[in-house]
Amino acid sequence: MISNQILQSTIEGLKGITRIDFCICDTEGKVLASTFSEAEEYENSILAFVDSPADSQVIQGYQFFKVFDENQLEYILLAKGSNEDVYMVGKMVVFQIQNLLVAYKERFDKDNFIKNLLLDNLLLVDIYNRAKKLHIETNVKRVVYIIETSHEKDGSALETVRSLFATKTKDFVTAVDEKNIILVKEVKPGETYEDLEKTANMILDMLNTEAMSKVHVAFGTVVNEIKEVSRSYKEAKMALDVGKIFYSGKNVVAYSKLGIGRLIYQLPLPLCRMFIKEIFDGKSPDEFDEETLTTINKFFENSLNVSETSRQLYIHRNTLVYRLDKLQKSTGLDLRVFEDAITFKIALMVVKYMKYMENMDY
Amino acid sequence: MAGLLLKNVAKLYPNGGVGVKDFSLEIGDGEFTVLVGPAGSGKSTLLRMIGGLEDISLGDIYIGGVRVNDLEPRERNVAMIFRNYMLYPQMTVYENLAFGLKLTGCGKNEMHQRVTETAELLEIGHLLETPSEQVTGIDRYKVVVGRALARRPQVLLMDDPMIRLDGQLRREMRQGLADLHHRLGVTVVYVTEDASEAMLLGTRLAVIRDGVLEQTGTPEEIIRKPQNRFVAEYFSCPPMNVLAVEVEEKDGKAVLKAAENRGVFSEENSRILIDGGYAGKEIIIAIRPEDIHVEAECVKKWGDNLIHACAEACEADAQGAYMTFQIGDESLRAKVPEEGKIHPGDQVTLAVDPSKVYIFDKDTQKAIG
Repeated sequence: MISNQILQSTIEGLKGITRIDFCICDTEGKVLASTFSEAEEYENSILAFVDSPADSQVIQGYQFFKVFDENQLEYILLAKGSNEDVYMVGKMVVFQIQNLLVAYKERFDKDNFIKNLLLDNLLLVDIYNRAKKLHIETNVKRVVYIIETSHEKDGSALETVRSLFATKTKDFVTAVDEKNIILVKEVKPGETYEDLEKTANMILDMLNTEAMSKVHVAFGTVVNEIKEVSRSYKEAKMALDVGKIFYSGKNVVAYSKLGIGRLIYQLPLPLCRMFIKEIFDGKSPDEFDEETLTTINKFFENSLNVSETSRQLYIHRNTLVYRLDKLQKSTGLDLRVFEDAITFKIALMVVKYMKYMENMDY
Repeated sequence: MAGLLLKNVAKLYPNGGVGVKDFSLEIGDGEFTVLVGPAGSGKSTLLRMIGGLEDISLGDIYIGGVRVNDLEPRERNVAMIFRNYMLYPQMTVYENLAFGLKLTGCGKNEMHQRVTETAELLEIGHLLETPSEQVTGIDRYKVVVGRALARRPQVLLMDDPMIRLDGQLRREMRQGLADLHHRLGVTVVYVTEDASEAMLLGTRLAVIRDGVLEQTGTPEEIIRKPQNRFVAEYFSCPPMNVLAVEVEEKDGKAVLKAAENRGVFSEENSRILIDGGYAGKEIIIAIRPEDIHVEAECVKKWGDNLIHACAEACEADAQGAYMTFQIGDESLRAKVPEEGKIHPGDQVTLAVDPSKVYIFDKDTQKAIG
């Protein structure tokens, strides 16, 4: 459970303090970590010690100790020397490793718990029981962030997020698949959605600069209880998908700001097809030329303001009016009229959604 | 270190939006180039494209002569600093500086050498064992810069890293950054909306609007020879006076007419307007408030370029007192020697330095000549 690297750094650190050499082996005599080179020579002695009823023993000038994890023999520790001091230090090292095992197990259990919580794999009663057991507060405001990396198993990104958040005992960093890192973050009293967006931007910028990873960050709404955490996760997941369809230029997407895109995302495809057929009479907005599409988008961006749109497009006001008239002739929708503009805007978004879904099918 | 070449780079979004249009720019080895323009003009998108964080829709980007379009960000040998940064909590300054190197798989000895060298360079060597939570002010910023420099990048990309700072700290950091660039000579591409910050930091500026490169040049060139009205106005603080005036031809010379006022140009500008066929047409002129004078000696000196106006209101700031004058339907701001000498309602004669008048085509908004 504990990596060999952690075991190695632990015994190196302890050697630095006590000036005693240590070696940790598994129950088959295989060396996992050691501060001296000839550790392999003791394999037979270790196997004999494993079979013996003793918890500690002096063999060939080394103190041998058994390290148990909940009564299960996990490791054998060798401490160089046979005097009383070495025995005492060896006992302390055993105690240290046993505590490491407990801590790691708890961390692993917490990670498992959070994963199951996100995926709705727990019964309501289990959520509260296990949270209590793992010392996780249940009535704390939380929000879920999903960080999607462009590469699978982006270790650098995960390491960066862990370094930023996992040290805080109330935040959890986990992953349920290979491209998404999930951060379940406690929301402090007074923290607003603006603050949450700042955190998302900070995650984005830190991952861009430190891990040099291309990422998208999405987050759900704030939930009040632990049982609702999975809702925030599902919202964040939807925000990530909806963001890809309608806000492709954005790297940070908040579920609370999805607007009409959130509704369109949940429409059945046959209904969408019917709507588009009615609006565009079988034509697709793709058939509009680039100039018309740019004009439409700029006109919407500028809240249907003719003067501002023509200024930004570097065209005369009358040219813009001519283009809008032409569009009205072909579609029957006058974008200067709010009702028509909203129908057109929704239709364009529906087309985008349909295209995305059709591409997903393949 | 290396130079940078952007060749016809464009960023097109699936919704038909255009982030960056046909952008070409060559940045020399060791140059401090500032991409400057209003919010949403495509500066950050361009920077992210250089860093490999945004795909390039069209065109090519070369770093140190190598085409990097298809390289991952970590393969481009660039380092980036963005506007949202923080130090890793529960890590010392040393660990913060080493973190990025660890991710790249840098060896222990190499890492130690780079961290200590970078810390010495930034004069934070004494802070290496300090927990990051205890580091404040400019030292905190130095650690952020140090994390980037420890990577030994060919190019340092900075996206408005000082936007969240205020007052004194921002001034200190600007100075610190300029000094650091002077010492290191690393190629820097810096993004900001702030024209004055761009002028202070950049050895070269690239002015962007709506994803289009409007002008590139040294700060001096941008101020003295703006290629269009946008650039002229963007780099003028307080804002420039912009007027629509009619060009008349008199004795082979161009005369500008605004309300009841007439002004003549320098011989060179006059010839440009006549040869360009602007006689009888309207053009746009822009004059900085500090180039309009009320002093008697200036009125005498530039007697051919006088404006008769009515004083309206006066406001003063750290740079001096500015008075608004009404001429016809338009108003002008001029720097006045001291507050209280001219009163609202006074009829005043203003003199314009003809060599400091910028002229633009009314339709294209581009500089004439």
